[in-house]
Amino acid sequence: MKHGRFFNKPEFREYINLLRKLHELIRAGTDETERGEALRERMDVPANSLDQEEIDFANRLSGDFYGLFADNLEPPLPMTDAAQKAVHQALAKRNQRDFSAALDQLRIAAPHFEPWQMNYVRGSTLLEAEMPAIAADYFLDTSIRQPDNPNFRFMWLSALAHASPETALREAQRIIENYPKEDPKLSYKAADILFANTRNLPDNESTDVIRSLVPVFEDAVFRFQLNGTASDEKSLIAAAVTLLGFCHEHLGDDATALRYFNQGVQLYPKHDAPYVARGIQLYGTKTDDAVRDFTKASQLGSPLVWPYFFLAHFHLQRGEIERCMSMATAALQRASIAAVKADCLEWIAICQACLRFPESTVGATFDEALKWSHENPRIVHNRDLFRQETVADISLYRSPSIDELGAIGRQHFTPLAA
Amino acid sequence: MKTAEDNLPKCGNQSKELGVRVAPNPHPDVDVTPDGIVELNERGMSVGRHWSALPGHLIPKRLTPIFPGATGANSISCFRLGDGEFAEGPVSDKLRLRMKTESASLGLVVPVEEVSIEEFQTALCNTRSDWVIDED
Repeated sequence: MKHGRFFNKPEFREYINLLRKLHELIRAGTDETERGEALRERMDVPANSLDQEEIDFANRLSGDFYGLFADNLEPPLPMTDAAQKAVHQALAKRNQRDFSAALDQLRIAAPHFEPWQMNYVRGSTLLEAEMPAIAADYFLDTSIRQPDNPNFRFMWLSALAHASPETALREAQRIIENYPKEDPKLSYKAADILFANTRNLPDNESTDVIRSLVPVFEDAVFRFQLNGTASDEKSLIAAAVTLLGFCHEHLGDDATALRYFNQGVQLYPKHDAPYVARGIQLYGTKTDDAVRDFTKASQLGSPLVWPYFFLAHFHLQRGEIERCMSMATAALQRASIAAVKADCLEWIAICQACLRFPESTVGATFDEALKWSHENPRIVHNRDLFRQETVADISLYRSPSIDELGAIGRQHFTPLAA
Repeated sequence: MKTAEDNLPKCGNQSKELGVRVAPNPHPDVDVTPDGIVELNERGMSVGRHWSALPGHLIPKRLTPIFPGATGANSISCFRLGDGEFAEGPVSDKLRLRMKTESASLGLVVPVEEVSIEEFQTALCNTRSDWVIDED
């Protein structure tokens, strides 16, 4: 895919998201209304920025959308080599992040496969293309067609959490109300969503929610070990055990939390989440152990920002400039939280100052840090210190305390399972 | 475009009418100076080489059997103006077709010269009887 076209083009993404809404109205039989016309008029704006290839592709995608939740679909044609090859091509194109080509290949294969099979792959492709609302539609369609397979509802809830957090929260609450009767994978995901939402709640409310989630996670972990999930999807159970530990940590029971983190490390030594969780808990009290955990997580290729972020801070405090710079750069590549980006950029600027980079470069890096954390007094102080005296002694710059770092890690850390 | 009772396109300054939208419409098709003159820039009334070159939301849903991505209201129709080549050139004595950048299938009907918005709308509407429904 060329840069800045199809799913890499904001106007294309906007058009497709509006097209999805239009199909919702069409399915409900309410598109021939003022609301429908207003929506079509909104679509004119991004449509004007699309070239002919993009329009043609959007139109083909629109044809696919008519298959969502449709119950009058033709039965599959006999399988052919060409259809099999097209699916392989589709998966290869998806893995190469050429999503439009992947979806075109699926269209070639579609008449020869069950609709749920095609819609599942379409959903996973669109999720990779960061179109979670449409991915959620496809996963919901698949879960309706295959109600006995819990993976599809799990994928639907995961996509919904990205596309529409409030809707996902309502669904999660509904699932948790009856969690012993739900599939453990689904109840785990619902608990994960409710746990993540506690960041938005006052302390007393979040404590109540987290307390209520402990038996849900315990039940999920227990059933994962009975039904084979523990051996098939180790990252899932590693994440569940880690979240269970985090629940206890939030409730002030550090010993139980550590027990779960230790259990996670012992049972799933090739998964990063328990190491990261334990590292965050130990940083500042048993910092050498924490650094070992973060180092292990980074060696495992953790996609999380935290091991690199904490290691950057560790090296900053020890005056190990090159190591700090390397870890802060790695953390910045993975950071999505503004405050974390700001800290990473600030530390890179300090390292640049100590390595005597040009003043303009260092100043620009400090300024970039302040874009992510406006008027942050510590970053302003460090920037002004550099501007006034071009200080190259790392010990003269201020850095966040271990407590501050631990708080941000505990507040934002979430293991990645889906 | 919207169809009038005589099966010709409906003139007007709203979406899917033979004319252009102008501010304060939130989605104007042309820019107009404070003096009411149409700016000759990259904007005008959008048209396509064939209706199948258009975004699906402009194609009526009843055409899904031959065009699966159609999502437009069934109250609109696809119209064709003339049989000539779809290329830069005159549409009438007051209008011309300007191709959209990097596209052989999409274009804009724009004024030949600087005119008021009222004159432009009138020139567009004056082509009304030349349009025929073409949904093949």
